[in-house]
Amino acid sequence: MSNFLKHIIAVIIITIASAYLLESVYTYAFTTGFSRNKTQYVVQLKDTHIDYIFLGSSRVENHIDCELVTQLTGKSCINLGLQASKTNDSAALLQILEDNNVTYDQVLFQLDYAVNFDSYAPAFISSIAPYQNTKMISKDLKEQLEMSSIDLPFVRYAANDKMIGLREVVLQLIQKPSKVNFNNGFLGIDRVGTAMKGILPQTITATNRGVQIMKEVAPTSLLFYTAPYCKSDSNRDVFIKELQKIYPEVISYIDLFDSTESYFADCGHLNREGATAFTKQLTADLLLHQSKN
Amino acid sequence: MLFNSIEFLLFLPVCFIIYWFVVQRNLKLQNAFILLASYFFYGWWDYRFLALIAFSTVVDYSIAIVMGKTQSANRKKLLLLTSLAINLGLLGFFKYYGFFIDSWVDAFSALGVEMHKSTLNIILPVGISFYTFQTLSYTIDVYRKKLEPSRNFINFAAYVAFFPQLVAGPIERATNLLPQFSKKRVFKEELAISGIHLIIWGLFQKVVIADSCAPYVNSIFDNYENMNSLSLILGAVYFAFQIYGDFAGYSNIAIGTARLLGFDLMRNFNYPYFSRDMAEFWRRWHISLSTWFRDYLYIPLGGSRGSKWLQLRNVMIIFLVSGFWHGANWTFVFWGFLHALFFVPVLLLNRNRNHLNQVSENRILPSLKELAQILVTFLLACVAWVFFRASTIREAFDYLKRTFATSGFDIQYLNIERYSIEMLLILFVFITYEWFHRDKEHPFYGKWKWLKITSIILMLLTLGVYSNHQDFIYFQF
Repeated sequence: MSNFLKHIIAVIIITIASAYLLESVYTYAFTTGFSRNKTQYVVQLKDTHIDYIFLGSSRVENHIDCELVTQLTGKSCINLGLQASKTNDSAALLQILEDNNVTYDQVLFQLDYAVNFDSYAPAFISSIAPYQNTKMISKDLKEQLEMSSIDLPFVRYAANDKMIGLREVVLQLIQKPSKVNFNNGFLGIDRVGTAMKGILPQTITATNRGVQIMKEVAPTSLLFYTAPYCKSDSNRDVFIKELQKIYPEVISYIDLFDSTESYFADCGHLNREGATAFTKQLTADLLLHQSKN
Repeated sequence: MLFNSIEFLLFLPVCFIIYWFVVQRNLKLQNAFILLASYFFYGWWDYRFLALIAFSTVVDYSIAIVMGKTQSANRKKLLLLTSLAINLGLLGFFKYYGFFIDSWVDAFSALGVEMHKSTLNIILPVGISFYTFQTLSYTIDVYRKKLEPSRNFINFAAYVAFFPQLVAGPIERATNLLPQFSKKRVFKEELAISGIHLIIWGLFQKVVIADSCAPYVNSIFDNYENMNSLSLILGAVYFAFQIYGDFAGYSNIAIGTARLLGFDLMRNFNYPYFSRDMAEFWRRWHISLSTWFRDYLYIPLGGSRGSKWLQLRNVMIIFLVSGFWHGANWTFVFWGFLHALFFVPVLLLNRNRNHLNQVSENRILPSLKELAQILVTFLLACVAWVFFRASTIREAFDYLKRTFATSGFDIQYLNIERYSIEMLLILFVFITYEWFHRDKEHPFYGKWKWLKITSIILMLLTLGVYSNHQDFIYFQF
């Protein structure tokens, strides 16, 4: 048995040593200053001022062209919309900005059916996982994200291998730029939707942790709006009615492009042309008025 | 409980410690513990199906005992038929009921007769095809007087439910495995160390090779209409390695786990993609199943005795049944049919036993002829895999048609945000490891053993798929 035990112990030691080594390499790669996703970008953004910050899901990332906003208003703007994100993800980004002493005039949050979920998107959890053992995010946020205090080496990288695996580490180390320019954060869609269909929920939950946190962090500068949806989206009228019941302050653009179907890439997303039109409209309605004052 | 899960990572050491440090002095306790652990392992999925295994165990145990006592040949045959009917009946009900109903209704529908489809929502018990064949081998061997009926129920029940190979094989013969339950196991260091090596290698095959191929395969097969020739070819190649890594990986972990408990199971894969013809491929792929069919179906049918026509008939039957064993879908049957077609020329030319030796024996690299033979055999296997993976036969034909008809060898960017060729690098490393150790059961030999173990552990950590880990493909069979 002794040889066998020695063998097992050697395998365990190799595994643990490899895990520690990889943990260091991976953490180094993700925290060196080069950003390949918006979470990294936000974590590394410090002591600055941005006039307009857009938060939300893909309906922000694909709809709000910050370069256009800057052109129209003369003010700085950043689009922090994340694909398939949940409300809590946006709240976490806002908290990081706050912790990093990033100031802003206005936070515009796009409300959608994600308010029905009290969770974080797996992609967001993956993107923030490298900071678990660093001081780059606050202890409060770590607790909020339920990051484990017992941290086995490399486990979080293995558990999130799709987003922060070896491939991403290599791209990070060779500093391959992301397809999104983070100074703008906008990612347009280049297609026109056909035979579009969609379905929206008929109920909205009464409270949402992410929204609550955002209201606490930015009580006076937070604005809620809804993105346009195509008119053939099932339950659209019920959805907006229910949403406005819970969030009466929300500014609705849900039916803005009912007469211009060519602006949609699919029922829930505008294409590049639609995004330009929407950005112009939103800027005129919500931002130009302020910048003139 | 999956072999590549945290649960198994805890379960196995606990079993090992209890087995070798608590119950090691008493054979009865050893076997009772294995039975208990095996039922716990299986019940982790769905405890309701434990009753099915228990029922199958009781039936075959009782039938074999009665068979052993009876002198009448007719009565023995009747008992064998009863065992076959019960075991195959259960397998047929759980695995093929829906398929037969659907096929029946479709056949009538084609004739213009509409029938009401009354299907049951039957859950397929994991591993039913494997343990059914294992218990069948027991009753058939007792009937053939190759084996004395077991008089110890615990031993027999532990043999049927032995957890390392319960759900996906290797399908053990009673003549090999059952006697091992009758002898007290003593810890053998070499066997246990080779078990650990097989587990590490099996994990690599499963977690790095099979699970990394899976998203590429899914992306290409699910969108095959939008893929160019290169991507379609890669899709078939990736699936070939996915299913190989998946199943060979499972088998190696199973054999390794059994060795940790002092058992020696049969080898299930022997580098099948280095085969030089289809006959060699079938001596190296899923060996426990192909030899099962050889011993219990092909030889009783006449095997390679008799005229060529008879041989061809037997080959066709064995491949069709083998295809059908894999699943209740015509795609599997067609996959078996294709393999029969690929096998027939080798048989007709009497070349089915041409390649019994190791490929490129005592040489580092294959000759050009060997390389061509290996590539042709692999290509044929890939064509057949397309049918195995596709949802319908029509889809498989369409896939193949597009492979040759669609022009374009550009590297496509898949919807999994990966380029279609990215996986080739990992496969190259894997093939290199396999090639240079093709005369051994795993790569961890020689003076570079620890370097190889370290490199595999590093690859397991960095290239393994853990966030979206896939079930073992063969569990569905």
